[in-house]
Amino acid sequence: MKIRRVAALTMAAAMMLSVTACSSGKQVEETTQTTAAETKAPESKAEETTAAKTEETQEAEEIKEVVFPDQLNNGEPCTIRFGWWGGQTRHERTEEVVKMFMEKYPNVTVETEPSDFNGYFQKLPTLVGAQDVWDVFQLGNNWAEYSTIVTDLTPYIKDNIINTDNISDGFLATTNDLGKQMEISLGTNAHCIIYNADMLKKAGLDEPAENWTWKDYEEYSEALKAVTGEFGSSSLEEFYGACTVGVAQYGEGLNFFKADNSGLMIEKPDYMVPFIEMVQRMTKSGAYPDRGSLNEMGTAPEQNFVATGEAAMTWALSNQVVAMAKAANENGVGTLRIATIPRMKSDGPSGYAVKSSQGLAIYSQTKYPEVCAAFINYFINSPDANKVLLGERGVPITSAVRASVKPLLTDLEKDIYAYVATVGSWKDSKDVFINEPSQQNAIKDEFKNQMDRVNAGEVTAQEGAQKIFDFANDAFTRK
Amino acid sequence: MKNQMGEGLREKRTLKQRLCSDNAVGYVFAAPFIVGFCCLTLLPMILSLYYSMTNYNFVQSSFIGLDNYVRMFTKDDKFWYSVWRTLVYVVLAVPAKLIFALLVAYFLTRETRIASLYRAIYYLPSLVGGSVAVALVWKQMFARKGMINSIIMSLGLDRLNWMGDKVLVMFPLALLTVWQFGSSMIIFAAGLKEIPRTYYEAAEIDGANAFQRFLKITLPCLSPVILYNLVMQTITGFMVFTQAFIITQGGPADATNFIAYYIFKQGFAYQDMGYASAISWVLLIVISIVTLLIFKTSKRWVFYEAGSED
Repeated sequence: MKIRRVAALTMAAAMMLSVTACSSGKQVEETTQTTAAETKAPESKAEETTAAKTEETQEAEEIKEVVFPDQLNNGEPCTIRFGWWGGQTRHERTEEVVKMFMEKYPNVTVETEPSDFNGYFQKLPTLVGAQDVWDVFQLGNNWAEYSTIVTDLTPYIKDNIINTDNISDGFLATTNDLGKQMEISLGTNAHCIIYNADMLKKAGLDEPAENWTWKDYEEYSEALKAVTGEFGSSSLEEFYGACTVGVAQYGEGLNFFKADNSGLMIEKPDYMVPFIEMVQRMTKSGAYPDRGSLNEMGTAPEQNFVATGEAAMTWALSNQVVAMAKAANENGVGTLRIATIPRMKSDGPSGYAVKSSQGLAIYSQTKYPEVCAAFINYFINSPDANKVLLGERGVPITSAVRASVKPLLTDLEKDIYAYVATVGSWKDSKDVFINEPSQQNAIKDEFKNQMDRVNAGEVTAQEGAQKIFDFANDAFTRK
Repeated sequence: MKNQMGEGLREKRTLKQRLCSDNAVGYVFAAPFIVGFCCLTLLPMILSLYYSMTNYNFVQSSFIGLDNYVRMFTKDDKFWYSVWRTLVYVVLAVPAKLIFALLVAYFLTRETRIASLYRAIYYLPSLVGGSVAVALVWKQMFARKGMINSIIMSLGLDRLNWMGDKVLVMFPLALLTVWQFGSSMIIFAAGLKEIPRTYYEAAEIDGANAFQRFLKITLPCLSPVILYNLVMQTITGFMVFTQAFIITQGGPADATNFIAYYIFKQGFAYQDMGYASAISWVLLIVISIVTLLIFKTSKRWVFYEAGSED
């Protein structure tokens, strides 16, 4: 009897510990969802971004030719590992570029490890813990968490191993922080609304104006729901809508998080309430998916209800539009177009700005930092490589690549480039902080939890907002 | 007496003799397990106990004493809610699974070839049931326009929002667990075979019907096996993870934010590995207490033949 009890307890202990152990491996490989991939990508220097954008809008830029070295690592064989996150389109294009790179430098082997977004950020911490991170890896602008494990790229830029002749200083600065060049940005993007133009036409609605408001959005959703019988609006990124973007729409330099990631900038939860109430109203009327449907919908662009024809409009990132439109086309649901995020007041600020979607960083303990740097150089500068990549990660930051890619773009892609340029030209963008503190993930989950409760009628929007506010403040008191 | 002789002899043994002794052979054969246990279970356990007293976040860690535990017990409502929801799930899923496994095992004890074929078939879900693929199938089946709702609607009823309702959501998840009744069934089947046929024959002569025989002979004779299955399934039940991770992501409103999933979230999504480790240890204690309670109550309902109890 006694032995059995001890055995059972030991078993319990052993099994439990393996919960944590298992989860790392299992999830990383088997998750099937991709969250809005670029949500982890802020930068702290909005002003520099704006500067960069203005430059981008000038069409005639000076383009310098980039010369690639004939051989790397003195022709001796070497292997580097390259990890990134993304959807299927990105995986295919990136693998293709890696192949081209290995053909050009036969002595270099690049081992690729593609993941989806969730899997990637579950795997990365374990690799950091094991001191076995990929030699070259993709990072959003959440480098604050990883600043100790990335190589400062400044020396490689100085030595011209990474050629930045065609990249403006403003763009470089978006990934320069704490005195380090953390990564080289692979592209820029911005929040946007994607809508099904055919459905809008059917409902007799005009194309949304650049400064349309949330009130308009709600009316559109209800009208679309009435005419099409489908959801008027698919998922709004509720956390951004109510908090990071939503709060910034109040203007006067107000933001949700403080610029130095030390806490909340808002002093009362009331700022979140109107958005939460709007979602509540739309959910009730059926113009917006209920909580079960939202959970059911995957987070990859291809799974969005807009792509499957079950909704007319959705919140997305500008570099997800192509994948979503492709899926919508395959499903035969109509033409997708891009619009601005609605505002609180038509003459108020937009609440968001252009940001670096993601960049490539080098692990601080890599054996071949120069090969890695040369790989990044090839990735961002090679016209051939970028004819394959086609700015899938966001609008490319080198002028040469933008110019070489332009003739290959579809109309939709041209619209996206133009959209990003428009957002970049807004003056109020400089008031927007796009830093994301490490507490954000936990706060976001609590936000979702309270949204579920509000929509189940357990708490009011005001009470829910208060809970989120308290939770967030508490999260910042730790550590 | 025997022991002393053994010790006396040991000094005179040569190395070769020692290597050839039964014990040494035993250790060699057990070595793969022992090494695996030490490296993959014992060491991580010790490490996690240490981490539970730090704020380890994969990059750096500093010792913070019992702060993690204090936070868990005084401030973290989410944790207590997740303990509660896990309990609800265990109470719902484990008995249902055991009853189902016992019934299937009972009907498959007849000594025919077809019975063993059926046993094999019914075991299949246990092999694939824990996988992500099946969880995804489950998610589709209970989706808004999924199979289950189609059936409900064809009966002229309103479709149910399985994944959007705090109460309803437990049923698909519990059902997925119940569906994996195979291993319990095999153990039950083995236990059923151990019950002497003579008991049934005697009961039959005395005029007991099938239900009475089940109640008065099968259940008491099987109770040690039931206890074993109950303990093992309860432990497994507390560690439910895949369902919450794949099907519901903890929602709606944290209703399926089971402890194991919460540990995973704290550790890998919020990178608070120290806190996650602390929760793991509390989960260990919670499971230990529940297991202990089951053993305590077992004295009242477990029946050991031939007085094998203590």
